[in-house]
Amino acid sequence: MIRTLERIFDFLASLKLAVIVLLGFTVALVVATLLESAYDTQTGQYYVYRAWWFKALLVFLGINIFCVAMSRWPWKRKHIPFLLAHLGILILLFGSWQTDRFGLDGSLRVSEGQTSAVVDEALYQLVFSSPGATEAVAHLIDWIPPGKEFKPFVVKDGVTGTSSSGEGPLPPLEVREYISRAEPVIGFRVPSTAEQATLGETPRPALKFKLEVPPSSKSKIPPGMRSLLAAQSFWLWQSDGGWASVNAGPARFAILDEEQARAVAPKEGAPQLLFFEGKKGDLEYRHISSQGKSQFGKTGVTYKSSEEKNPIRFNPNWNGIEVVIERWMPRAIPDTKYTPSKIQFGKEAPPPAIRVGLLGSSDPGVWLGVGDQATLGTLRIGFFQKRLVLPFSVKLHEFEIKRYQGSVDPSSYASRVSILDQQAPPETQEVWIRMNEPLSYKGITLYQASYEDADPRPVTSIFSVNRDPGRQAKYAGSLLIVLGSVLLFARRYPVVGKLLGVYEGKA
Amino acid sequence: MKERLKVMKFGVKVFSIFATVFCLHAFGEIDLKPKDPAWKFLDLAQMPIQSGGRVKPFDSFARSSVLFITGKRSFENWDPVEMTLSWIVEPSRWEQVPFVTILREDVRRQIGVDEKKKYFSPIELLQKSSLLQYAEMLPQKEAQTTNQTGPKQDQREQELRRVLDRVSLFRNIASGQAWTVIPPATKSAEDRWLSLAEGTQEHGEVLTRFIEVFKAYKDSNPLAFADASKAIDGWIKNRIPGDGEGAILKVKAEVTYNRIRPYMTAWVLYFLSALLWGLSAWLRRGEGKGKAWTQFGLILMYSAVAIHTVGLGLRSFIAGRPPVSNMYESIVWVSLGVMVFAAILYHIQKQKHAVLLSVASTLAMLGLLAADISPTVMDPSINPLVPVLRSNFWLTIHVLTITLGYSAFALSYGLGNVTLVVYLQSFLGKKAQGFMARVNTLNQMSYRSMQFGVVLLAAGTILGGVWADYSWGRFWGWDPKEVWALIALLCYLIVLHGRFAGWIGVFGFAAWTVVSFSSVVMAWYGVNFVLGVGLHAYGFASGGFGWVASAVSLQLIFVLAVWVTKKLRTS
Repeated sequence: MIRTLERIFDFLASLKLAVIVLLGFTVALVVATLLESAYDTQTGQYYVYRAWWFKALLVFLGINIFCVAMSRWPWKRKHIPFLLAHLGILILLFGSWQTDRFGLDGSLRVSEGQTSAVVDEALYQLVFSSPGATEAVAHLIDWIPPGKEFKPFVVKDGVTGTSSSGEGPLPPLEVREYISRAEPVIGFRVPSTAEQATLGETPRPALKFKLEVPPSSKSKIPPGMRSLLAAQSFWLWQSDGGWASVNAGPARFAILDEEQARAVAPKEGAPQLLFFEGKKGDLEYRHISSQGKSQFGKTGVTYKSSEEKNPIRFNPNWNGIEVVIERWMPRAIPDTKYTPSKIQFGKEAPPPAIRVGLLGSSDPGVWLGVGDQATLGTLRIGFFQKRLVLPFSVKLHEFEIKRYQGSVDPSSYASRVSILDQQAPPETQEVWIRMNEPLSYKGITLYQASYEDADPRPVTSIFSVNRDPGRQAKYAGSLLIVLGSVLLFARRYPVVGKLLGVYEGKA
Repeated sequence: MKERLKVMKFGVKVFSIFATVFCLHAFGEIDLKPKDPAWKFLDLAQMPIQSGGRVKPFDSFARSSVLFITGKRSFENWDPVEMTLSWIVEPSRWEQVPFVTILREDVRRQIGVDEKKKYFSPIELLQKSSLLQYAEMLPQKEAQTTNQTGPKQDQREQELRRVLDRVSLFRNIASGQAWTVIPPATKSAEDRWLSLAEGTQEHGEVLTRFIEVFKAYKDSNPLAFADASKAIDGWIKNRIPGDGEGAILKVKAEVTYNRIRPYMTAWVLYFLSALLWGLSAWLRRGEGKGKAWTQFGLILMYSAVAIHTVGLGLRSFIAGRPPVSNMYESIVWVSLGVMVFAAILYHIQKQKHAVLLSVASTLAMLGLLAADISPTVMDPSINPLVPVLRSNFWLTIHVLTITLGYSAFALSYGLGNVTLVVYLQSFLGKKAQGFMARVNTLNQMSYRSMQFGVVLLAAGTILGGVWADYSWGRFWGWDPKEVWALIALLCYLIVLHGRFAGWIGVFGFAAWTVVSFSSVVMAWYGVNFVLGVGLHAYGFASGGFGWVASAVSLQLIFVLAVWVTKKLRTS
């Protein structure tokens, strides 16, 4: 038994193993940088830096170094440089683990004159709760690179330890689909009767239309323009019961209440086509021509929802352009779907989206992009960037950009802020946070990271917000590494050599 | 008083119709030639101009403009100052002269000009519809990529963009818009200077003086030109806002720096000293016997080091910061570092080996030569820094430390190559006397140098972490530049540990020092010029990939060839 342990220890403490581990580590790093260059940072992080095997490799490196250090036991004076350098690495690795595990790294955005305490972290989470509950369950959703196969998984109450208040566990959810870089596709649908009872928002009229010049038309509109017109459809949804309008082709289109439509005073200018729901729930319109002439009409679309297959068209006399009613829903709710974005890699690539349903139910569930919320059965659900509320808030008084003389290139920028702390009022004095001049408060440090210029103002200042419990260990480890390697290489020189008791008289 | 006002008004008028008047002379054939050498442009070269975010001598402005537009330091014997002057004096004639370069053949094809030619006239380029179409698309494209670092741009598109920029820079110079030489009446150093084209009645005096300069040049009157350019230089210098004295001193220093070309002199001297030591070794007069040769070589080498140092010192003084903000500066700095390490190692040696110095001189010569001959890849002009890099102690320290580490590795790499050559000689010929001693000595020097490198690179990488922590609040973020510094360090650690474990012998050590240097090349050049991602984006550039890739490949092939020879000989 002891024999075996000794053998294992000897293996772990061997120099050859160290060389192999270093080689493996190097190869992994090369691959990571190549991935990052070919795709983007998130991809490199996913496949290497955040991968379990990479972390295991680091732990293994730590064990290797530890065993090598122990194998020199009992330690003598001459071992000092070797021990400093190698224990330094161990301490550095420990510090990195502390940062990884307990640290905070996020960003805080404040516009001039505003106050904020919300820090965004580069992680996504699914949040769900029953209506009326004070607490919600938050479940982190790991980012997955495009092209990687996604397996549906179940999210249960209590998974993250946060429990919803009161009435027992919430029903489990299933994440059914995942798009790494998603682009929204606007749409609407008629809610089911069962659904209507639990909906947060009232269903309202929705209309999908497009403009078309029939091929047979003798209109003077050139063919290029014709295909451009036919390519795009528009949605109008009366979100709050008032006006909803869009400019399309030659005219302005709106959906509104009948009373509102009748109250509009006709005037000259771009033609207007105002849709409203007639008394019987069918689709009617009022057309105000460019000469300011008003005319009421019925589209012929009935009170029932229309089908995409049978569009109805009518000609308002705009150089041969016809209006095609593709879809009409007197009672509809938004139904935004997501598709993979055209931009799949790089800084411009959009954030992910997920499709979530109740576990075991047959309905398709709902699509959620980052920042979206929805109702699912009896649950309120949302998909957000992971957020953290600081124990204090930051007020931005002023943002200043200095530029190099006679040019638009910024030479420096800075924010004048003060801290508002509920526990220790009144607010602190105003201080400047500059590049390389951070502000620390209650163990959290704010750095000037960047800004979003706006003309006219206000400008938004972006701070990087950090708490790094591993800092001491990392600095101490670094110092030891440098000191150790200097001594290690200086052993052959008389001064150092005598100090370590290894000087042999001749270099 | 009234009289004077009249004159000033006249001056303004003359300036605005200036181009038109001279255009009338511009018929007939284009025979633009520089004036004879009796003409002196030094006063005009010293004239301050506000450009690129700082006040600099007109000399620097002219040099960077000529380099950007023609792709050469000087075009067909034109002094850059004179050429820039000639653009504003003879704008319509220059429109028809082929001097605007297009560096990429595929871009020439795309624009639809003669692929074989290198230079094109502005008028010829602006008649090409493809270029104009691209120019129209540009604002849209810029709106799409507003991101600060942006995605990697296609190199061909970058060059296409630069062709447009070249033509517009020429036109801005020819129309006076780029001549931002009228200091503001306020005394604030941050205010914008006005250009000649923006000058109004209140600037009548300065405009009149400029017209005198242009007129004297046009009329080929060297005496009037000398007087007028001296006058305008003095006039502007008297009106520099802020610390006028300091600015004038820097402007003068910069003209001197531009004109003496210290790195060219230095590389020639490095070359001569290396050649001398090489010859003496070849004639078997080297170590010991030919002391005079060594001494003479040392004198040459130290003169080169002195000139090299003065050049870097001047540059730091002009820029007001240490010279490590781009590839050009770092290669000059690293070359000096190689010399410093070699000198230290040489002087602490009990038995002096001149081979150390000849290797170092060769490397420094190659570094400076590369920087000197490829201004289109490594921009030699002095530019201001992005905000995050400004006035930061840790930044300076970490970059200087890391690049000094590169110097040490470079020296070790050079020595490794010499060892390989010695091995190759012994494989091909008969074993020379004291072969093992020679190889061991070389390896010993290389090992010392590598130790410096490992300590400096480790310390520098960690200091980079300290800086990142101090600036961004994070010690380590797996940024490619950080990671490649670590990879380079790991490569050398592997060699050191492998040597200690007995896997790497005498030959292996020499071979691996050479191979490991590829990781330094990647960390230094590759991350910025090839990978092109990450937070160190302010140093990104392009170009030279073919050269660097072939150099690295040839080097690896050489190592492989020596290794194969060794295998064949010993089996």
